[in-house]
Amino acid sequence: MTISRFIGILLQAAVLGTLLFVAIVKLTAHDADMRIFQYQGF
Amino acid sequence: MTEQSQRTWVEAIRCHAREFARGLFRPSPASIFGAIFVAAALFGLCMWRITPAFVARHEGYFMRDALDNYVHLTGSTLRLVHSPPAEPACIVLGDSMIREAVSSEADLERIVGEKAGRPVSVHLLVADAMTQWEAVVVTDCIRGSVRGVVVLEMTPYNVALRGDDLHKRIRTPRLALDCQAEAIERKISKVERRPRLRNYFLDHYMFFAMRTEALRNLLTGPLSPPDHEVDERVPWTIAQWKREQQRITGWERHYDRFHLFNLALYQRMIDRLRQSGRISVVLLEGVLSPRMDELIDGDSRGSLRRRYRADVAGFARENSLEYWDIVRDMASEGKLSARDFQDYAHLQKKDARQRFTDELGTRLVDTLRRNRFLEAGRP
Repeated sequence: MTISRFIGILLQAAVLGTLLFVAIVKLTAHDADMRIFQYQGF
Repeated sequence: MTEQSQRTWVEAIRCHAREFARGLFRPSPASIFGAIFVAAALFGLCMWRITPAFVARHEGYFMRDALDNYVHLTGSTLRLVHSPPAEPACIVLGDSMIREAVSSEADLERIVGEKAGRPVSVHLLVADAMTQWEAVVVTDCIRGSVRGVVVLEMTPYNVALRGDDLHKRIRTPRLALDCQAEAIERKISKVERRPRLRNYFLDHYMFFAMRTEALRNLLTGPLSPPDHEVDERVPWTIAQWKREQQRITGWERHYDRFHLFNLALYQRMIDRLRQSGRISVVLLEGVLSPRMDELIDGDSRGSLRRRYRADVAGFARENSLEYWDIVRDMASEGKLSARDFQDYAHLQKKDARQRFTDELGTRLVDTLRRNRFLEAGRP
């Protein structure tokens, strides 16, 4: 494996890893988002 | 450089570019493992770096937008805990009514400082539709860090809050704060305790996770909330008053069933605040437009509102608390009127806000002085 390919893989892993992190957080928080901002008639 | 060596050089760059593109765009076991590692590392970084002290310093990075009050309230509370003020303090807790009624935190601090003749630390701990549950958590966090006056806002809506609604607030907290009182109140309300993981980020995971939009603040910079949010809104028309008054007074319909339950919660909160002997508590009536009282005066809703005021006044007497109804007092002196409000509860006129802030500042200084918080050397 050349150094160029290794850098490409690292960059792909960084982008995919960040997207995976955001996706997991967004999916797990979806319900809470609805509930927490809801006004409960004060 | 000869033509041949130039060709070799260009060929080498092309070869590296091809290899780079292959690494970047073709999925491979290495990149998949790498992605999982990066995601895990980001979680680890959050668990390691997101601590109460970090949020106290960088709350603006966690706000989904400038109106994200509950992050600001969390940050302001944590700042008081981690950097307690050396001087006497005035802490005002309340909802958007208080936020819109006070010209600004800095202005109130200036007024109190000038009238007191010495620096006084003033903090507005306010958030939209804040209930007594958030007040319980905030006051329990700060009670060991401040000496001075704590002002608790009372509204008919909060005192009439249904038990179920309060339980919902307890189960889905809007603040990322931990306190001892939470366990006691959960036990009383029979809301089971969340399992603790002893990591701030994980224990308040939903608080952070629901704010993924805040990630863009890493590029654009931290946000800070405006002093007021209703400035651009058009004052309510007569038609809007007619439409909305039913809905608003509806928030008080469970008053008879739940007011004792809610006042008991206020009582426990006040007792905890007073335990150290370094805090005087004051009750401040919500900033409600006099127009609402006029509209409901002749019917059952009006008598319920009068009962509420009498109950809170009685509660204040029983607990030796001051109970300030600044709007009523100022309205009776002609210093405030329904025209100064944008709607049923939000002051909009700049000069009215200034008058309210002056009056609040004067009363705060009187209370500080009466309780000898302004004397040098008082612990």
